[in-house]
Amino acid sequence: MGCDVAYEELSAFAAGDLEAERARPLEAHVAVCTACSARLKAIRSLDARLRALPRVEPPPAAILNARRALSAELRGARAPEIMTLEEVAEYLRVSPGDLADVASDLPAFELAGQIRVRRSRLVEWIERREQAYTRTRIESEAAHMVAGLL
Amino acid sequence: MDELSDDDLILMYAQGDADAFDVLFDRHHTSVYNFARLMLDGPEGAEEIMQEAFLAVARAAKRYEPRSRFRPWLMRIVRNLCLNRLQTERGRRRILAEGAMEGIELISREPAAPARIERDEDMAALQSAVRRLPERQREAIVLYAFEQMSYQEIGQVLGVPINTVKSLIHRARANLAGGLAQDTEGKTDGV
Repeated sequence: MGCDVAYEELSAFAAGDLEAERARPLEAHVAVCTACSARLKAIRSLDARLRALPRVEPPPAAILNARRALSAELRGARAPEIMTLEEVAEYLRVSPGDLADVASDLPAFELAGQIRVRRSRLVEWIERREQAYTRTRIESEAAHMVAGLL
Repeated sequence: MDELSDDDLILMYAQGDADAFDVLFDRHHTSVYNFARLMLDGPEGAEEIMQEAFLAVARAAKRYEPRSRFRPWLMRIVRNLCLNRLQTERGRRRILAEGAMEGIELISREPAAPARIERDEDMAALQSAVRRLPERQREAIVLYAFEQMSYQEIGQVLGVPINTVKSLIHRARANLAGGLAQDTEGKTDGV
């Protein structure tokens, strides 16, 4: 093997991603070729520095937000697509009586005199309420700030 | 549940076991966040991508095929979300002055020993050089170095053959070496 060894070949060798039948002769070549040995050393040094780049933990608030966003989705994994009001209450973690306050707003439908809710519509409804809640909170905080400035 | 493979967990979740998904989230959220952080400009975008990615995984779980292998599948989702975001923000980015300070979080705010400062500067320069790489080279080298993925797995994430992965990593390395040398020259010139 001459010194026309492609850099990509050395690169794959450094990564341990070269098939054995190609890795073996290359290893033997590197052992005797100063140029390839230097190139391989440079690749490994850069790789080592890249691998040493610190991994940053996401901020706890970001993890919490992600978990919150996922929780509705994950609860959905257990809930049936068509839900009774009791199932909706359980899904929302409130008592069935508490649903009365939002009954007129729920994305429900009637079937044979029974109220049913489609899970996907319920998830959308929750998202709309989340947005409304965030808006209200921001407005309220802004009002407090303005009041503090006056 | 910790001893179960990613494939087992995602299939369990697809069959209705929500706890299985929590384990997947715990296992992979840091990787997802770091990949997104290096693909995008800063931590805010990465936080949102982390959330969006796991929601997308949860929603797509039923379509998951074990032969895809979970980690490349997950990172492919993250990558697509990052690319969508970059595309949307590209117009805005053009307006930003060239050479604007990039958010380098590696430099410690605490007083540090000279050797530590040098090491931090070196790390910051390397991270900055990674961020300056063209998109495809950047994602290939980040998956390779940070996620320690094989060329085959990187190929699955990027949707390209192994030879393309080899070439992308080679070009990324060459650019990184060039970029770092340039940084050093710049620093020397400035002294």
